[in-house]
Amino acid sequence: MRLSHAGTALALAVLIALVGLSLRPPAPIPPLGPLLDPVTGAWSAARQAELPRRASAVIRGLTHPVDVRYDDRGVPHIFAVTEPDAVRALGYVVARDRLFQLELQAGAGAGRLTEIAGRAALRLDREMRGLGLPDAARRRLAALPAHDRRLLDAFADGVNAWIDHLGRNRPFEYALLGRVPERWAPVNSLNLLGRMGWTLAHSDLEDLHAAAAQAVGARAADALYPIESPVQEPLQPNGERAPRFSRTPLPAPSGALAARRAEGPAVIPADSGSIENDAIGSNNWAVSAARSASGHALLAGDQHLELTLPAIWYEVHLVVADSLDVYGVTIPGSPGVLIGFNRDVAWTFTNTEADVMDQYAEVVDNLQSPARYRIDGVWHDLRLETERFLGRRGELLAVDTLRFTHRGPLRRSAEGWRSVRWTVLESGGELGAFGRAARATSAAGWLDSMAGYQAPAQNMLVGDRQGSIAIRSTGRFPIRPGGRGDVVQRGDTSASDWSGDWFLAELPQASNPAQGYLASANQQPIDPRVNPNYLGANWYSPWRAIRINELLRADSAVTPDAMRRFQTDPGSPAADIFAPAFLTAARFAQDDTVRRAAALLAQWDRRYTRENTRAVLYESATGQLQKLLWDELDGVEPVPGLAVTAALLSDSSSIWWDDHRTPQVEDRDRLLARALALALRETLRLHGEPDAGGWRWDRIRYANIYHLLRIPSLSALRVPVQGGQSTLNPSSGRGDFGPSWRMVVELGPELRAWGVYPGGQSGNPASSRYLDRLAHWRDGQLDTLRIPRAAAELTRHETSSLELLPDAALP
Amino acid sequence: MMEVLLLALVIAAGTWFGGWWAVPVAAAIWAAWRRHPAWRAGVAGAISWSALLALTIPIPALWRLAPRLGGILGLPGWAVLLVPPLFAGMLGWSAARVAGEVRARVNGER
Repeated sequence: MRLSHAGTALALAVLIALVGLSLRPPAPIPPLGPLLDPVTGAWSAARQAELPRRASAVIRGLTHPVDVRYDDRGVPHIFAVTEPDAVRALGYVVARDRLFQLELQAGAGAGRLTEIAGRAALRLDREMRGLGLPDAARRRLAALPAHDRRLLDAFADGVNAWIDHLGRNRPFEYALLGRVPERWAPVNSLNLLGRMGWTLAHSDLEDLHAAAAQAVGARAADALYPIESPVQEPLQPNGERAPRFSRTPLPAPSGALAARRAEGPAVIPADSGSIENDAIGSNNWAVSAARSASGHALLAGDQHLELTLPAIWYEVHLVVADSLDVYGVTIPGSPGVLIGFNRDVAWTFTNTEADVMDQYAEVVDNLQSPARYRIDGVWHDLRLETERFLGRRGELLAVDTLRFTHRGPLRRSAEGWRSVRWTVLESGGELGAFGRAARATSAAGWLDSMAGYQAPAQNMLVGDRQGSIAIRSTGRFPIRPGGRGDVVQRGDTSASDWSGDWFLAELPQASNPAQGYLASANQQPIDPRVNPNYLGANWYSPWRAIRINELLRADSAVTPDAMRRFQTDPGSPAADIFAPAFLTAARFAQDDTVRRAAALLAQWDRRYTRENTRAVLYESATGQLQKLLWDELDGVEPVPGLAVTAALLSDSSSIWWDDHRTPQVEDRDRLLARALALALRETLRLHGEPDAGGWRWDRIRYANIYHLLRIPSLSALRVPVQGGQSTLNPSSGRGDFGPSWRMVVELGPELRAWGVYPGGQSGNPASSRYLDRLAHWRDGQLDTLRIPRAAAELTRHETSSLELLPDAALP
Repeated sequence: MMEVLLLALVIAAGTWFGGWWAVPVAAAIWAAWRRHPAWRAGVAGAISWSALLALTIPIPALWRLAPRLGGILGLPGWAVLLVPPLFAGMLGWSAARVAGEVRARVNGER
């Protein structure tokens, strides 16, 4: 009897525990019963892993039936009668493959991630809302032209039709998080654009310059984070046949550093690890008909963005009878193709990296809780907005009051309050520009269509079937009365306000240049000798641009396959400069470690191939060099780019080579040799002896493609790739940034195209299309893109079809 | 045996149309209706959820998902496939055991 009671008590405890964990588990555990339920739980994702051979659905608002055919790469080809119908279908198919990604990205753009991820996302949400991005999206939606608004509504109809169709069948991540999909609102698409603006056009040059100026003086800070890149290889050809290096000596440090020097040497910190850079940036280039083997223009592009699963891009083909036939990639949530081609024109982007965000030190009435700000001696009311941040269960996490001046959001800083003016918050017209550009029939017409595009500014490269190529840094570039935007402006005078924008004709651009090719890779887009007006500062080092130009100069009969190979080229112009410099510096060294390091480095062919075993030493040496060299900055991050260091190499006795933490005075060669020795010690410590296998590059550097929730088992980690810091296939830092969409297009009589992105079309981890493109991406291969003019042309490669019907078609 | 299979069928139908809670509810009703060993309800729960997994989900997709879900739960892929039947089994057994005890007390069987 006692045993029986114990058994019942145990059963009761088990029952209470299981039911409790199923109904209201402690965070972060998801409700167990719904999670494990084989019908609607996490496992149900496997039931919907593959697209059915045939399917049909009804979408509200559709005016005509839409025929969707999926090819053997999982790409939907949408054949519609009207553009809004095509966009409705786009919303439906994107949601079908990527619903959770849609919701997560919209949440991120709206500053509502806490509702999905909880308190951990509060800081990021505050940043989004504090910058005024969701506020700007709401205002932009209200001012949207009717046609653009119709497209956003149509996209929302499509997404919501899929959500309605889902019923109890939630995608995998929803089961994990215990959530149900939220209905899609048109403003989400604009929040997404705002979020892209934050990724691509957000800068804090003012803070960087101020910190550097405090450490080494304003004049030195100007030189270390320069308005004019010390190595020039602009996208607008400047008439030079090689990169132009600045020979201007760096001014000596002053200010706080000078005082520290007088105190004598400081202690060298124990931490001497290598400096890592994130591989964010992009490449694009095009060759005219005259320089291609086939006599047709060629275009290539690869955007280096965050690598995620599912990928940031979704591939799609939209066909609207007699008006639109566009293929390419969209960001889930956008109502159209962003990068791709039509039957006549192909286009791709790199980020311009221009400075389009300024800070103003405002005079406010109350430092604790300002309600007014003063300008030209007159007080003005701040616009106040209250923002509420909710948790996963709808609980209130925080309430913020946002303040806005006429310039933009007002934010607290160490010295008081600063307002921010940012083109991303004032942009508009992007949707219409993309829509018109998709219908262009020539490169010039395509650029004309993009004239109204404002933000985030992009280096837009385009080629056409007539053999023309053109590029333009397109966007809104403000004119500052003071001439520069990398220092904090006075807020109490309207004289600080932007006085206009660059005219279209002034933008960095080129069309059919005599050299026969064009290239951009986030470098300073125009040589300051051609146009000295302020466009930005602390530019990306132009190594990738230099390499593309080297490759294109050397090949007068470029083929699509050569374009593909260039995309993963392992060469590094930076290594071509710094590796010899290290070897020269070590030539007369007496130190055994330096001599051994130099002997090992001399064995490197300066190529970041996967199997090579010397790149690791070079990477470590440049990291050490940057740390030793910029000791004067006393922790200011990031340190000046390698282009500044490269220019400094010509000044062997510059005061900057001296490490002020040591009693002796170093010159260039002494510091280079020391960096090399430190690098060898560090590499031996971390990776063992040189030829024991630990120095192989693919064991050191790899891509880490995380699932959106950063769950390792849903991610592709330690993916070996060819490339390194500053190569065309950049691989550095944590490995979670890199080429997110590689595309090559040949603009012949019948356009041909190839492309790949890491991951696959499906966001469902149980799908065969979750990771099916990864191997090709890893190996630098491209898939042939199928571009049918009509549904019937696809038959041989069709894997699934979907018929979308107007609701009037219901019985 | 037939009784267990029948209960498994009821639980499977309940799960399909209702949700996970069909397991404890069906097991409790079954145990309250007449006297049964509770472990049979556990077996019925495990059978029903195993069948739902095996018969309604394509096996290749199941095998692709198992290691990924296993990684989240800290289990190998094959082991994670056992979790749903185990969960349903424990839920069915515990509900039947508690319901049986209530039935016995109400009927004054001890």
